[in-house]
Amino acid sequence: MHRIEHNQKLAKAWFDKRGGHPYAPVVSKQLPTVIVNRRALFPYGYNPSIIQFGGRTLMAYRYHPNNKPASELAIAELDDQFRVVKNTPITLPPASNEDPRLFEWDGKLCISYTVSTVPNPAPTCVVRWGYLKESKTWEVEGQWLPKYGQNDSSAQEKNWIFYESHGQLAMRYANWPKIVTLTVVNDVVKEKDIADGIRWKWGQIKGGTKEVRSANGRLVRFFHSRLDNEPIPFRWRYYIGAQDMESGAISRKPILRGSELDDLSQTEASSCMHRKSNVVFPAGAIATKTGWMLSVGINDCLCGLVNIEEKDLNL
Amino acid sequence: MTSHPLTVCLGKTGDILTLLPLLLTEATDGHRPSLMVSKRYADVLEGVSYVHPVVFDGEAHEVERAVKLADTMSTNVRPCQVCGPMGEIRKWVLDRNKDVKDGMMLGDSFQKSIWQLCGRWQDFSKGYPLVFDRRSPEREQSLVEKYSTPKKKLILVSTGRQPKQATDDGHFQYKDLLMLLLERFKRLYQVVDLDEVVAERFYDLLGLYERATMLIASDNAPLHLAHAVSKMPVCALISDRTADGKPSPWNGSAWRGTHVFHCRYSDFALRAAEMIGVIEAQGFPGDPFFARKTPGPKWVHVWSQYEVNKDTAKRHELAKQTWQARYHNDKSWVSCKIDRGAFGRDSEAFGMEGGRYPFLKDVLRAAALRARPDDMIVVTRADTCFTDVPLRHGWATRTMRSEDGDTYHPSLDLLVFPRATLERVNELPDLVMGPDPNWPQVVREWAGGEEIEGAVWRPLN
Repeated sequence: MHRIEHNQKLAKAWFDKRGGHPYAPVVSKQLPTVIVNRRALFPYGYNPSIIQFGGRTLMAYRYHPNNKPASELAIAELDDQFRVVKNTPITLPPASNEDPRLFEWDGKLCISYTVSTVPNPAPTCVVRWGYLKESKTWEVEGQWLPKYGQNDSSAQEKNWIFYESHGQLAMRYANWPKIVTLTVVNDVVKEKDIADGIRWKWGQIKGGTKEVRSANGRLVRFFHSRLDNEPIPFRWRYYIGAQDMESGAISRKPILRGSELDDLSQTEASSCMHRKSNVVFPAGAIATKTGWMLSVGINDCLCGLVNIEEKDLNL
Repeated sequence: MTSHPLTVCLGKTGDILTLLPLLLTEATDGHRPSLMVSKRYADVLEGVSYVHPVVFDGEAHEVERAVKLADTMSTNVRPCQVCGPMGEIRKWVLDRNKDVKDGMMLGDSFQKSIWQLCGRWQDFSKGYPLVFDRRSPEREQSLVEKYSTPKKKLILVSTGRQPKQATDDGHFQYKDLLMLLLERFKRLYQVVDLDEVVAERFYDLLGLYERATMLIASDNAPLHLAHAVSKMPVCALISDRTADGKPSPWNGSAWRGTHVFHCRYSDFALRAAEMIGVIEAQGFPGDPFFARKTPGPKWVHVWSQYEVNKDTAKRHELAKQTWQARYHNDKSWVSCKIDRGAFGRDSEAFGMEGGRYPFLKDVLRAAALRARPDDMIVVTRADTCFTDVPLRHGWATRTMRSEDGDTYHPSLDLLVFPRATLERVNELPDLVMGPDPNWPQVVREWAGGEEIEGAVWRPLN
């Protein structure tokens, strides 16, 4: 027997006997979290993006119809208790449409999303955005493909963050080694701003949310990172941090970290073919009375809304 | 015929010395436990008042005759001799003991097996003291005056020969090399070869021991006697062979808290230079004996030399520099290196793949022997670098440091807990202390505490 196998066996038996485990706590145990009723969503929806628009709370997310590799998008409307009151698909051309992010621009509700060639063995992806129109389903007008970087199906462009800035549509393209911010008009990039990147111990800063000001006046954005240094079989773990957009300060340690475990039962987890451990993925945030409600995807199988207070930012 | 226990261990001296701390714990007012010993080794018992000697008029190998005789003297005979003719040991010692199954003794050292045969296996690691309460100050002083000079520090060397007995170097073949290496210390130290010292009673050597700066001893009686002097650092050269030369770490003595260097015979040629470094480090921060000169609780830093190999050697050297800085800045540190071969069992001896590493519980029991009740135990990997972040009960994960900046790594590289936690060491599973994440996760859960952010790091390459 290999000594690692020997240790794994004994450690597992020891934790089983004590009723514990060596893993990171479930995300919903790390901070107060609402797990959005997955039965009211399309099966095993995840990576949600929350927004308040027109007096409504909307949450876009992705899901895999019939456990297929390619995913589709939908929008759920939530009540003030974050219960699902309406669940509607977004109509888009056939592709794997992934990781939606809702934002407001020019007084209109908009969405950005990734279009991937999954299930191709070496998939590429691009980022598109457009205006959302609600009818029987949600429609996306425009579906613009901003011409920047390798957003031409030759690589994997993703995690672009669109937001309104000084009356223009801005987009955070990259965070490392330089912060690259662009001004976009439909599919044309007009201006580019480059600043020194921010380094974080928990991996390269990516994606996340646009900046959101809390009721107390603190302006932050949330982001995710990933490290591929976990032991086999997990290999990776995602982390969530925040940046104070006025001071530039960054979380001293993660606000949330992906967990090997989640709120699915073992049977549910095994029936969800696309579930991946150690994933926590932020894509939207709204202000609350005490801080922020951050929408996160959990292990590619659940939508969580995490209540974050200023003290939790670790700034 | 009495019903009082009669322990049978005919010899040799080292085995009798192994038993004395156990017998001391059984001695009560008005009762001295009885010990049957061969007449050849009986005079060592003149040095203790708490044992009733029953002198066997025969040689140490006459196990059957001795046990049969003991059976006529007591209804409660406790044979615990482990060395001698194997057939007799099996029949008259092991098969009579209800704790021994199929002749298999517990423990990674014959010393622990002796305690097992007395029903006290778990107690060996408590480090009960070896006490000679009938010493002769006059005879000891006479030896000190004869063999040592007051102006120099004293290093004692023993490679196996006992006073008044024929030379027997056992399997330690490097005496000439050892003495040559010690030449470099002769300007500051007086090196006394105990093999040349003739004492009236073996324990008369204790006077010299208490005068000595260090003992370097092979696996024989003088090494066992060192357990009676808790303030003398010991370089222990430990047997890993049976009497007929077959590999057997069980035949070596157990690790003691005073062992600043613990080396198997077969490793000595490779590690001799390391021993010189250990001698030179005496009196500097980190040296357990230096740190104890000041009162107060200490940080007992436990790390395993098993983890040092060609891949980690460079990182280990860097880590040691950060340890020295920490030891130097805060004088309350006690180093507790677990030498390769410190224990009679390891993963390789158990036939496991993936390299040779010690068992966690053996390492923690060793730490318990070096620590005192108020101390804190600090377990790190061999290549874990310290920052100056204050430590407390808890744990820290690794930060990978490179020119590009720091990166978090989930490996638990620092575990800090009170010495008292080690009272519960038997709750732990028998994990191997290798470079995998499992054992630190278990220890963190077992020992508790909070995360200590930024306490340790490791270079990326």
